[in-house]
Amino acid sequence: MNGTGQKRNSAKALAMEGLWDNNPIFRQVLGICSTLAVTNMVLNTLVMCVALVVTLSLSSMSISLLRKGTPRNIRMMVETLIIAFYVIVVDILLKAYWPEMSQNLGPYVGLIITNCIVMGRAEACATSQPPFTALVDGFFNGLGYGAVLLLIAVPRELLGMGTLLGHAMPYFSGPHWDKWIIMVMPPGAFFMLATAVWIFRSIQGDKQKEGAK
Amino acid sequence: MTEKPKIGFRDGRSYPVLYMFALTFVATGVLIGLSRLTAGRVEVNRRVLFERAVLAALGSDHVRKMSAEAHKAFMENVAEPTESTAGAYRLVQADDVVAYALPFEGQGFWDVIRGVMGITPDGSALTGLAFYEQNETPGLGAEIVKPHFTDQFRNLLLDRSGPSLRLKPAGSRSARNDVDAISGATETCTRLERILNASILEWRGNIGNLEGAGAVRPVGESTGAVQ
Repeated sequence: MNGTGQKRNSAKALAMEGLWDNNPIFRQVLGICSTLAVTNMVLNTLVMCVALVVTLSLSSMSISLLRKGTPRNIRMMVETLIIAFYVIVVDILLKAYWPEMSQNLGPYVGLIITNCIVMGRAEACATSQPPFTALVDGFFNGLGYGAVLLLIAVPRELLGMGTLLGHAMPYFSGPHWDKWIIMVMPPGAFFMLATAVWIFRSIQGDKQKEGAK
Repeated sequence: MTEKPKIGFRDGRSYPVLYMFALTFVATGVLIGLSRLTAGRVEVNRRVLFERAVLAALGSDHVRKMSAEAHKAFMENVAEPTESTAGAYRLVQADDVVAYALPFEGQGFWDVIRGVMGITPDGSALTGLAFYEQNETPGLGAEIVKPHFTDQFRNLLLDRSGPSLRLKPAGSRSARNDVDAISGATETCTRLERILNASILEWRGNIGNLEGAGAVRPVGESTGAVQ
């Protein structure tokens, strides 16, 4: 197999890992704070996911690029600095070019710095893998995080507010639908997250059993 | 005699310090540069949000137009606050003050809420209410910015004996100065009610003192309608 083929296979494997086999939310149970905080509106969730994918991919690549020169005893400080750098860049750009969204997300963009997924992937992958692998790993872990967040956000906004992306939905925004206010409150996020983890882990468990047979 | 093993630069104690310093220097430099590059735009965004809030509080239709048109409408119709208006902007038509736009701020449930309320010249009613900064819970407290909530403040009569206005649970309004609160956002509504009443009370006091001292020209009765 040539080098390009190997790289493609490796990228595919990393994609499967990040999106399904080792999904940050329902397998690694990382980044739960923001999962609970921003998923009551789909648009906010979408922008948060894009911000995390950008931060995670670029910080993983940068950490990997610097890994050979970074002293082992200060590596976590360096990782935090690089992650904070990209998060602040995203925050500045949002404030300048999308102020309404910057206001909607409030402190949550800044809190990406403390999102366990970013530091987790830096430690698990970026410090030991070449830049391209770290970039792909970060990108697909971010996508895996985003996919689960969106799956939680859609029913929360629909059932809780009767809207999707801020647009009123038929039936759910009408007088016949008594809005489930709990869905837009923090307990609603706990219920939806637990349901999502239960469903995905059950599917994974069934597949593993089939594989064992 | 045994020879000491050679210690390279990267094995020395100073290397991690210098490494971290260099990295921090570069990262900070880039961030300062980016921040300065976008500072003008961020300031314009803030100003536009504020001007739109003033126009919305005064009941102007210009608020729905593009930023440039809203800015032009603000510059043409709204006069900056002076000492005699006790910090309120003025909507002036034919040398008469048609309404005041009073900026207010106070602690909400999560963060500071900043907004503007439009008040008739005699201080007896609101012409509108708008917000330009808040970080309340999306879907709950953040609903205060939505028209279904803010529209209730248009031409709302204010009380002079008790609290100027009251936010009551939806469907339980009993007085002319009552407004439907948002279900599930009790904390935000309670704090907002407190902020608005305190701002109105303080402004009325300041304006009253200035009028008493002859610093402000008496204004006519409210028409209750703003362009």
